[in-house]
Amino acid sequence: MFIHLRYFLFLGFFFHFLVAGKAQQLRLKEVSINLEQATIEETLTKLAEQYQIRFYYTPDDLSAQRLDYLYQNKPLTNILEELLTPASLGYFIYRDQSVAILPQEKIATLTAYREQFYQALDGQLQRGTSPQDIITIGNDQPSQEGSTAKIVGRLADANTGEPIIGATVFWPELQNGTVSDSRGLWETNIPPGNQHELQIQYIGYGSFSRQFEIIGDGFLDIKLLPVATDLATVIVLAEAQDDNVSSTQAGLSTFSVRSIKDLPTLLGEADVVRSVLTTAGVNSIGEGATGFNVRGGAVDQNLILQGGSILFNASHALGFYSTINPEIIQDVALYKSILPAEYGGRLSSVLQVDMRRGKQTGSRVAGGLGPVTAKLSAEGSFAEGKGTYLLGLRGASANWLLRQVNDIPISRSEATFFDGNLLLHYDLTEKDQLRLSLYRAGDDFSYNQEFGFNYKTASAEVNYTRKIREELSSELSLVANRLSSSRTDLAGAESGALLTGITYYKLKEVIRHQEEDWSWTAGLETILYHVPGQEQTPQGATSTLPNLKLEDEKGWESALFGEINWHPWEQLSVKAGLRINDYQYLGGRTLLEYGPDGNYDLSNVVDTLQYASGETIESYFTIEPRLSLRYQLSPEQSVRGGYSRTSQFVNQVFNTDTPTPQSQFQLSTPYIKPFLAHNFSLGYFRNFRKNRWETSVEGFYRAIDQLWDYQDFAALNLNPHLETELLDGQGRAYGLEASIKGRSLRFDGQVSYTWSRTERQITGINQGNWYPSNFDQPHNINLSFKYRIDERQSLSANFTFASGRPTTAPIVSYTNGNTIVVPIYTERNQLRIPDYHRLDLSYNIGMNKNKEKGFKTSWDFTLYNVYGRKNPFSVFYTQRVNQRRDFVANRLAILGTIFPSVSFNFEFL
Amino acid sequence: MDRLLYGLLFMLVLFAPACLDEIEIENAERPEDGYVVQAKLISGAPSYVEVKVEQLFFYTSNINRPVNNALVSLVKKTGERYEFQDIPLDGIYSTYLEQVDFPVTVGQEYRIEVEITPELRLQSDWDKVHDAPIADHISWGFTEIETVSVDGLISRSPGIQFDITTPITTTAERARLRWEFIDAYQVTDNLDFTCYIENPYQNSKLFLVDGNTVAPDTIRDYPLFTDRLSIRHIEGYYLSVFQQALSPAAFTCWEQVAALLEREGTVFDNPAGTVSSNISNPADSTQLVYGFFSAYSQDTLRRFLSREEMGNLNLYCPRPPTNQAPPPITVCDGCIDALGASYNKPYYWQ
Repeated sequence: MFIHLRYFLFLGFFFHFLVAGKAQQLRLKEVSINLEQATIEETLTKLAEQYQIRFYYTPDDLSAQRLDYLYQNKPLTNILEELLTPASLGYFIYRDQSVAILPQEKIATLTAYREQFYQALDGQLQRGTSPQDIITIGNDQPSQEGSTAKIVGRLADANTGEPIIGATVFWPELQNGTVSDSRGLWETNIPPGNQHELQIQYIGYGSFSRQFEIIGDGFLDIKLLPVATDLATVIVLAEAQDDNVSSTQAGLSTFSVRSIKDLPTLLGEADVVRSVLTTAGVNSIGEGATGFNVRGGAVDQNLILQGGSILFNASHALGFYSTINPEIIQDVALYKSILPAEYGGRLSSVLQVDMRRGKQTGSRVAGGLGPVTAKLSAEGSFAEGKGTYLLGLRGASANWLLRQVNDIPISRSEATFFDGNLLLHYDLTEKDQLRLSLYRAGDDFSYNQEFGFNYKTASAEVNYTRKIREELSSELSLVANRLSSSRTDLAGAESGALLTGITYYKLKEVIRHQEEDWSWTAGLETILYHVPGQEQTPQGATSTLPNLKLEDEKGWESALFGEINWHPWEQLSVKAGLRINDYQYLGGRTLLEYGPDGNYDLSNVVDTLQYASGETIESYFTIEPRLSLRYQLSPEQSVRGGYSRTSQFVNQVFNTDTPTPQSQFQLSTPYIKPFLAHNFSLGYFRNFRKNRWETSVEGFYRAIDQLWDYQDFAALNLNPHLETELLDGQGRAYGLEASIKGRSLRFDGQVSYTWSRTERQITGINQGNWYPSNFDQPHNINLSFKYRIDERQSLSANFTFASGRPTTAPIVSYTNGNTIVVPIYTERNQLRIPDYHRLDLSYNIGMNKNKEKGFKTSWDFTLYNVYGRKNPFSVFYTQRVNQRRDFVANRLAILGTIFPSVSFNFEFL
Repeated sequence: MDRLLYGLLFMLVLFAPACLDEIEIENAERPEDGYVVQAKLISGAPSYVEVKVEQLFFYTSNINRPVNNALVSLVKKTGERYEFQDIPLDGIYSTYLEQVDFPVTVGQEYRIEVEITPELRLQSDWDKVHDAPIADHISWGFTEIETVSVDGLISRSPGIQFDITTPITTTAERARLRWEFIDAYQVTDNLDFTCYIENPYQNSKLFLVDGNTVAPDTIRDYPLFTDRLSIRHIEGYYLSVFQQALSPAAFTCWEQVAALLEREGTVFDNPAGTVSSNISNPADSTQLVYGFFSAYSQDTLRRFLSREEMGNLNLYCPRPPTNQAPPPITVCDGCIDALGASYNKPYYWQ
């Protein structure tokens, strides 16, 4: 005695967006129909087509008798009664939009359950799928190493919401089952790539049976009704497959762990940033470059959050790897230029990396070994499942490899890095959860015993989440983080160490309220920055360098924010927010006072000003509206746009192509103004074939109304008055992003193309004309594909193309004396280095799966830069031998050859 | 397992360092007109002034046109003016100035003016002559020079290292120093003629130290350069060091040139830019003018390396026979033909 949702037929969802507009009158709607010798089902079908009304019913309930149905301008409700009453059927109008048809006795018993029923229907309607469709779980492959998808479910009583304890959860085809725990939770691992039936049984409740197509990890929220009502339904809470169309947030891209691991790796190590780079609108200036550029933004204009911790350096080995360990990631979200109100402090983007909780049942140890990297993770529970731990460790040492290289300077170089994460979750009560996150990362690099780098990040976060009511929750987090770096010159009269870094303390409180049709978020965030002054210390007896230490800097950035996410009607959703920033630049500090003409030149200094510790030297107040709008034209297509005002009060100062460990951090001062930008985006999103194909075209524009750039030969190191090296101006970035994404049981693929420009206009550079910024790469193409050969094997490919970035080249020269040739360069960034393109391939095979012992292994074989393209990181000029004063362009390719690698992964369950 | 090991070894071979090679790149659009004016005024008795005027972009991108018909003047801030009368050679206007004719003194400011046409007049900013510290001594020693070939192979050869010990301060300030060098050596050819060959030290590097960025008041045995042992060091060698004290603006200019010369295209390179100039067209700020006028004083220091000190190395001439036909002409076939050669000793030669 149960009704499967799959028995419902879904009719009339075409032109879905038109329905709601007329739905308000559905109860009073008058219809006309003229059918002879038709069944009730044919009549309903005709009504659905003619008036875009959706009907839900069980075909077996409908009589097959054929009659004449002739109505003229008659209320729909009257017609339904005439049609259904003889068959002992009833109906109810769902939200004045759709009509559900059931036996009359069930209509009566559904009153208590109706709310859940509505939700179930709503879930199906929003996804644009037929209730009889097979539900697909997961958009990607499972997050853990191996070949299974982790399906987590929760069972609850549909009427009371109480968890159902001890229910049997069974996948009959796989002979795989489990039992729900005290919280109604259950978890099974299912091989992806096939359809499977799930059966759930519990005494006193109706059985549940449903076909699922398992593509990847997912979460099922299943509510069972007591036998008396005999109805079960299911809501899949994993990422809705039509997020591409239905999401309100503009400029959002999400990444699962599997998508990160699916990409071919460099020397066997999966990398978050490399995945981010496959997204339209995101590019990098090449291997060896730290970070990434989003919609024409500089590298330091991205806010990278690991949990709640801001990472000022997210790169290992000068940019070859990111410091974020894929093993501890839950998921990754990239907000491109249109930022939710709870995020701020950066101009271009937010990369939010959410870390997952350790296993609540059982334990798991996993690891891997590559040519230069090794990793180990362990997770499990304690305190009877109330607490969980997750430990992730990674390390790399290229020393043994470098020593084999047939190049003396390289063979005398050393490179190591490590990172470690420890995550502890503890459920204080059912409503209170505490999380402690500790993070440490570091790099050591030395070249040919001539110079070296060292940089380290240490971070700790305490996070307390409380579910105040079902729809209301609070999250409080406290973060302390320190980045320190040093560059050391090891020999000669200028041997010494240059130390720099940044420390901050952050407090953030967020209240979230979730209702059916709307939600809101509000909170505050305050960050205290401490930038230790650059410090130089001589090294060795022969050094002539003096001990120097610049003054420390302090800044205090605070923000209040609030945002509402509202669905005024089905097609339209609005996410509107406001972020109010207050930034203060604090003493003690000594600043120069310049003459009234605003020329920050040492020759224009009129006084020296002393500020006491904690004294506010300068404050900036910004109001930042944030808006995202989505209008759903149909279940398969929508238009989405957004606007956000963004500001940035802390910058990484580097007058090189990419930040290096010697880059320093600079807070906004009275003379170095914060960056300010207006960001706009508008796009069209369309899905095909039941959301298996996602397409989008999105345009963006950014106007940076406050920006600075470096003057030629800017002296940045150990300069207590950096404003003398900077020039003020404005910037702009604009472009068009197009993306196609497809997935099936065996095949995933994504193609993205971006055309964009990013330019600056700075007084004192290029005669005040607009010029391309260092990372202006007009054309970016990225293709990534994965083919699952079978449950054990898969092939992945990734191709990337980017236009050459701008450079400044000599056009003429003159000699000084007989030996010094002085080149004269073009205006800034007037030429381009050659284009960048690269193909990577990988093959993954899972082996030795031993179900009984819970031990499995896998191998990754990767070819990075398959055709050995010598992609130029940069171009510099030298004189041609024997042809004095004739300049030759030289291409520096960081990875100018094919890089094969093999890595071994294992897992104990 | 062996296959795995070989696979890893194969990867080792492929894990090559960053590679560097020549490429073609589009040409930049050239401006239509531009001038280079390089000028220096060296205080002394006598003082020496030299102004070199060239026109850019006249022929090709790498051949400049000397300007020989300009009216060039040296002006002292107190009002005195010296106008060049002699016909220049290759755009170089130079002369020695006796103190009685045109006094050049430490602490005074000077500039140059160049009238290329009546409509095109260029002039420099004022540049002050700074006092040069008197260098203490030059030291030297044998060393080993390590050379890495293009394919990454290392080779070592005997070399010679020169260091300087000098105060970095004068009574007034910490000096911004630039060093220039002339080396002179003796060589006897196959005909037993002995020549003295004197040339500026061939090095595309600039030798600069800002006294404000070093700790001690005197830098001791500060490394100048390392040179491979060669023909120049066999029969007698003189290194002349000219220690110049530059103005802040001039020093900045040379620092910028040095930054351009040291660029290697790595992630640590600062972007290239236009070297600052203190010469401009007062009537037209858009006029492209490059170069610098620098007025300075300098201290001269010389160090002689005798044949005995160098260990009585084998003489360079005669050269051993080669298989090449015809055998290459060397300095041994007639030392007087070498650039900068003379049968007369330089005036400072012992």
